[in-house]
Amino acid sequence: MTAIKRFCLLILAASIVGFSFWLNAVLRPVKPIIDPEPINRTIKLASQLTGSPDDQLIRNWLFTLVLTDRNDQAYEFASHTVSEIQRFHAFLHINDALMAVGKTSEAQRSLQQAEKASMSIISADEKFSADAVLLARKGEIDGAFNQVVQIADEVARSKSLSELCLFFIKTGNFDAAIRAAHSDPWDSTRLLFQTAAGLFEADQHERGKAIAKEAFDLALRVPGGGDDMLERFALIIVRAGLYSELLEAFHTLEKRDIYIANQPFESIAIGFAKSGNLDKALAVARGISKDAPINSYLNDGRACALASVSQVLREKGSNGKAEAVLTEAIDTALKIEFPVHRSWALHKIAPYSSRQEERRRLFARFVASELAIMSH
Amino acid sequence: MAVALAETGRGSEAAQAAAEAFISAHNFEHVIIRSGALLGLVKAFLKINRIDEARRLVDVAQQKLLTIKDPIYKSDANRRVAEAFAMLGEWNQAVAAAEYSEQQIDRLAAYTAIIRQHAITQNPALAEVLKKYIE
Repeated sequence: MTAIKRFCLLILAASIVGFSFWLNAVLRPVKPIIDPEPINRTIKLASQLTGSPDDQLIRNWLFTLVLTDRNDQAYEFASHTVSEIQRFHAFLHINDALMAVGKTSEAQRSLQQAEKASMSIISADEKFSADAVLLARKGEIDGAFNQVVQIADEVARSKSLSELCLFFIKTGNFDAAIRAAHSDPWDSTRLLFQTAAGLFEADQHERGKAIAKEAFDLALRVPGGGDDMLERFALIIVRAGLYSELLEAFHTLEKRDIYIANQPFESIAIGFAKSGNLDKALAVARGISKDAPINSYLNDGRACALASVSQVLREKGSNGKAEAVLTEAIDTALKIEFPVHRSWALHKIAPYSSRQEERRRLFARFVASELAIMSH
Repeated sequence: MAVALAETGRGSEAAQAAAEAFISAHNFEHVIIRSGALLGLVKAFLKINRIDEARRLVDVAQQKLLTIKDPIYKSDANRRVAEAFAMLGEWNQAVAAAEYSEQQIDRLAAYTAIIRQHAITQNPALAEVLKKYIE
């Protein structure tokens, strides 16, 4: 009897426990569905922005995803990109990012996806351009150029050649880059300068010099004088050792009342200083706004150029000469009356000072200039 | 100026200069936000471990951007404030500020900055890689 009673009590207790679990489960308040993880939320929110018109932003986003090991999210974003051309480029960005981190086998998948995306490109010229890019990435250089020549619109063809050229520079295929530059009658000067820059980066100095010289000669033959190209690529021209020629070209342009900014002259001064021709370097630096009054705001460029020359001298071990030139740069900057330009010059010069105390003094002067601007 | 002061280790003077700039700026969205001064200041203050000052600047900037009327500037300002919050590691605030950006391009730029900053916080070695490949 007692055993039966105990058994019944056990069944009852078990039923009560079971029921209370069930009741607890049913009556448990429903928690609001929130994503506590802001990073997941960020990716989710960004994944809705597939219609963004800015290709550079899309590239940055996809690179960020791939470099932070979120390849799946990158593919998802690319496959939902609204425009078919942007979708194609989105997969190429993933391909670039994967190649950058050495994931070559995974990169193949992205290239296949890009190829698939290119199938839906409607415009014939855009399709030729996309096929050229794909063939270039597969190493079929002739095939890529064969696609480009079929592009009917001249502007689109030039754009496609430019894209190919930049890809070849990036991947170190300079023969193909030069071929693309030579094939583009509209933009060959810029592309050759960019190829020269790539060659210098890759430590192929002699070839870089030759290509820079070719681009320089082309720029000089431009009817307007080529001032925009010469200014933009002054550093490359100087690196090719053509600083005297560039200076002469700028003087010719100035005689025709074409304004040349200070920065290219600073590059030329650095070029002369590096070659050991200090007199010429100083002459070029001092020649910047040489007719301006001593307190003119125009003298900030001269101050900066002098400071750059002093830095070259310091790097070459001529500390005494470097100090003298830096003193001249500081004096030039401090005489500028207009605070904004004085501030700018001091801010640029201060880091060149080798003495900590002087650096502090220059920054203090800079601060005083800025305070003058603020109170004004 | 405040950035230069902070970078030379003069934290107190930098904080004072930044505070003055925030008060005296006639056109806050141009002088502080669009010039990139806010991000420069936050970065400089974090570098010298003055986290409270950095946070205060971002809070003030967030309040001040409410007064910006032009929707395009406002969207850009929200993006920059989102980036500043991300630098501070305030992820929820960063996402919220990004969501206030009306322009898609600003939102995508802000989300990129948030993920990038978060990844660097988790793995500082990624900073160089991300800097190298993301323009």
